[in-house]
Amino acid sequence: MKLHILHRTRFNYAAIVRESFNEARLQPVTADAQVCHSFLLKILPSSRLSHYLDFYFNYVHLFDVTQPHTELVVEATSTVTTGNAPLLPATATPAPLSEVAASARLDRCYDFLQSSTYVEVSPELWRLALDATAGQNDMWQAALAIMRHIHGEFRYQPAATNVHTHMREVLQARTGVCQDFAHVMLGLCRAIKIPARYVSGYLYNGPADQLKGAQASHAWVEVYVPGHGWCGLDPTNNRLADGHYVKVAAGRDYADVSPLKGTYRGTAKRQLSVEVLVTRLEDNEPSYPAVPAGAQRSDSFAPGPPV
Amino acid sequence: MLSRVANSLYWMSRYIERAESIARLVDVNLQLLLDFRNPDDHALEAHWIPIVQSSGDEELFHRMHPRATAQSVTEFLVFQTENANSILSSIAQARENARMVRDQITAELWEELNRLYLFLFSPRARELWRESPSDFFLTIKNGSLLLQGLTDATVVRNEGWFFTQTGRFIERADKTSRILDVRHASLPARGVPAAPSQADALGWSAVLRSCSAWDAYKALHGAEVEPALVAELLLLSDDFPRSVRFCVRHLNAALRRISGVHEGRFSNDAEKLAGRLLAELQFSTVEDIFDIGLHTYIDVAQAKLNAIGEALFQAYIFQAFHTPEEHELRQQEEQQQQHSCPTPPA
Amino acid sequence: MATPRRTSRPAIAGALPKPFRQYATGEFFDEMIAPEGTVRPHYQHFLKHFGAVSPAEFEAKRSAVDLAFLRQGVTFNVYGDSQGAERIFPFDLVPRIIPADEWERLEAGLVQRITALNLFLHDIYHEQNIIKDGTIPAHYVMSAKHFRREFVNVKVPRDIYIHICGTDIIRDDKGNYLVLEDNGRCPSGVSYVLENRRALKRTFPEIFEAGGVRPVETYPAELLKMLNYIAPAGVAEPNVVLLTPGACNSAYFEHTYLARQMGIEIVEGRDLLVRDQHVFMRTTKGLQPVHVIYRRIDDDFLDPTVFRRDSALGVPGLINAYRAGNVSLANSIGTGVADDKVMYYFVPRIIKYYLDQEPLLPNVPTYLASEDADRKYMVENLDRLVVKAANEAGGYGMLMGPHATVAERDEFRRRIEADPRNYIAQPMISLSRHPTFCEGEGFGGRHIDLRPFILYGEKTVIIPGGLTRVALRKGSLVVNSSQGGGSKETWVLYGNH
Repeated sequence: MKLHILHRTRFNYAAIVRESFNEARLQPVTADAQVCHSFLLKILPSSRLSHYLDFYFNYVHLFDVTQPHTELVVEATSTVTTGNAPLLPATATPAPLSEVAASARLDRCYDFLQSSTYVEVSPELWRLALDATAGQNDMWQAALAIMRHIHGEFRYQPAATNVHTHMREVLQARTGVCQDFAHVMLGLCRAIKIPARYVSGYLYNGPADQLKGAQASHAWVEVYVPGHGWCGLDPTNNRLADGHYVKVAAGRDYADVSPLKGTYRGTAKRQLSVEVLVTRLEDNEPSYPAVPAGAQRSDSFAPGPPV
Repeated sequence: MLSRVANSLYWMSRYIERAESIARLVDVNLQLLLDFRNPDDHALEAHWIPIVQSSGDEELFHRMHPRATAQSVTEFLVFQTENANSILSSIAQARENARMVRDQITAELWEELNRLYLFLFSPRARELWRESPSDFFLTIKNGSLLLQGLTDATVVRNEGWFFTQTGRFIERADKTSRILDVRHASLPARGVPAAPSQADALGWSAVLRSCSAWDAYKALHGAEVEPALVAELLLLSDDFPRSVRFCVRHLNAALRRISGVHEGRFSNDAEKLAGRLLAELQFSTVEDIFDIGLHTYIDVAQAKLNAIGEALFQAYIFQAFHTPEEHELRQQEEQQQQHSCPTPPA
Repeated sequence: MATPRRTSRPAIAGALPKPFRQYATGEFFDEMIAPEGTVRPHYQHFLKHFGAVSPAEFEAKRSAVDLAFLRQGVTFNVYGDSQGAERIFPFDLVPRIIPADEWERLEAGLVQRITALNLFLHDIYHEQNIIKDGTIPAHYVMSAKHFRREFVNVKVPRDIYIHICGTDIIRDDKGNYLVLEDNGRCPSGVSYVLENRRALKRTFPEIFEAGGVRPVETYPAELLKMLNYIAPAGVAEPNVVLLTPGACNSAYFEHTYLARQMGIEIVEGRDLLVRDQHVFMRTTKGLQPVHVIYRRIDDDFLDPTVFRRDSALGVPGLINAYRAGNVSLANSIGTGVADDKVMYYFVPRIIKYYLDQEPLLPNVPTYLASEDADRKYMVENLDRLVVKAANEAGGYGMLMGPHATVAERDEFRRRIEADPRNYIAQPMISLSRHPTFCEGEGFGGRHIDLRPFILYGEKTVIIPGGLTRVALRKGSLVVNSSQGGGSKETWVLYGNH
């Protein structure tokens, strides 16, 4: 599926601010079946842009606006072709749960089995995970069971949580948004030694929602399946990540992939507005390769020059 | 020199000077009360209110105290840390500024300032004040003089020293003018005033003593206190070290030593404004001043001193922030993922 | 621990100066006095002069030195004291003396160690060969608290990570030198080395006049030379600054001292700002470029945009300027991996791997709680072991098994089981002792360690000696300034006597 994405973030400050230094993780990856054909990042007030690849091979753009300003606009546009089918069908049984501990020894999995900023792998979580996966012998089926469990037991409720809500609080309240659902799923998977990572990106949900302006960025989870690699599961929608999903960045949790974060000096009074528009393009509509060589995603732990 | 260091030296010096000025002002006026014959509440109020006014914090005073009495005014000007310009606040801020640049000042200076600070914030300070207010104020005045003497005697005459001088003289000029202004209610709006009544004369001599100018005055004019002569000494004297003219002359000189720009030229607004104010003081007579009206004249002079301080800040403190709010570091993070999450097509 | 027993003195005891006649070495290795009661050769020259000082004279010299330290502000701040209280780091006048041949061995071992550690850091932040080869399991590196994922694949100036290292060395009851830990982040204490030397020279000029002690005064010049060496390419006359957390930091005296000795500006985070990926400082003459930062702030606080978001000490944009190669930092970022006590366990392997040599300075035998067999041994023998948290310094997070209560041992047993990655254990080493003046006791034996300071630049420079810390409390093995420790002068001799 070929998609065009517009992601515009606007900060309006109540008074003049300055010394704004920021990092953006907004460029979709080119990995597996997904190809990012073009990407443009526009900052206003205009600012010099630079970039690097972070530890998880996400594209990070850096910019600073040091002069006094009252508005900051960050606008990312990209064209992406996604693979249509999920990597692994829902019925597959690729690896027994009993063997999953072996992957814990893989370098690439280490980070995704530990507690992280917003996820705590606790004994309590382990008991929950055992309940949720009772009767499952296959790790992929166990992960699907966890996804179903979360979808069934947790209520989607905007504004119940905030950007810094920890998984612990979500477990208590049993409500949250996609970010929170993903954090809970990471915790449950990691508790039974299934390597799991956080993915930020977009979900194309057809022309209807587009008209309602209901689009936003999205978050889901990938689990590591031996012999197959990282496979996406969306606990918010109880669904496998397929061609409707555009992957932007992956990490241990939200803290690693925050689309935009930074600091500035000045008033705390500000307004944030975000617009996301995902449009489907005809497959033969032109798109322009804008991803420089070396931007390919690699999942190996060794951070040598990616191939 | 780092802008922060220059700024700290400037304020350290200003706050030390400020504490000393307040100590002298309160001390002299407490003593003056002893000369009052059966003062009623109204007379006391009339005595103290101008003193509170001269501190520039009248509004805050009225919020904290229903009436101006010896007790409430002393409390406010000396001990209350809610008043950012009280003696305790001033010494605390002087010390805080010194601590920030501990390596740039001499050990003697730091130790003495620290000692004064520890004394003022100890129970002993109030005890001494209750036992003998004049001993208490003497301790503060001596402390400040010792600090200034130590600075004079131990500090290398480098850029930092000239920032210290700038702070000292701008504060001293400001305080002298404020103390002189305390008696303005007893004067005609314009014109050279007539000889004062006996009670008024006492008030004017208190003004002189508040500025340590009593001896200087006597030497020049004898014991007869005349407001015009007091004003002339405190505003225009070229030789008396607390007169506004003397202070502005030294302020101007210090500014020029910082930039290396000669007299008659200027490289920034602070130098321009200081040079202008100095010329005006040099080419004014006390008659000119009373033509305008003493109170009006002092008001304008204070505004000019403020403008010099502001210009100094702009010239040397790169990208100055005026309020803590402007400087506060904030985090921003896109909270997009807490907005409504998309649902897939049916 | 057993109480030191008094050694009987044969006739030769007469060689000891009077104040030392009652001195008992006990069963410890004593730096000055051999088990048979004779003075070790490298102390004889010193004792000849020192023995001539009368008790009254000694007392006068002692209080003069204390007063001088206080007056000059040779102090450390006590945290949590808003009165700005400063204490002097107690200084004992009896120097610790190291003969030339011993120092030569120490020096060679330290050079070997710092070289290997720098190669190791470069490797784990780039190719990670040592992990791929299985020499060190990946998870030990990945789980190191100070492994900076943000710095993988970043080229650092001259490929140096640890520019300044303070390595703590102890001697066991046989007198063998052992490495206790490496401090590769912001090691402090060197100012005491320099000030102690100044003080002792003033106090006993006649002893120095006789010669034979290698100077330490070149340290600031060597440090500055190293800092200039790592300047960004193309900068002929780099502007070097020292970045301090501020006047409240416990080592603030040292920061100002070193800055003054090197003639460089001491700055705080708010004095610096970043423009177009270059760092500048705000001066009364406008913005001045900064090329090299000797930072005495931990990684976490350097740049709120990248690390701790709530840090008010740092400089927004600094890390990106560093990444762009426009400013150099000493030490580099992420060197804390080498401080991790679990990584310490692997240092002998690290030396072998990168240098194909055996370590010249051995480690203290160490058990890793994350290895099943080691952990089992640890929890069963807590009463004989010293347990340390992997990422703590300054004597915090530590259990001295033999001295601990049952409750304390149980608490540590629980902690070890809950978080094995964070704990290591070592046998209790009976640190060597040194005659030390003790109030009310005269000269008594006190345990000591040694922290040499290593500069790794164009070449590796170690000033002779370092900081000898002494546990002033009788029987105590804890030498940290925050916990009743003091310091001594360290003399390295030109010769062996």
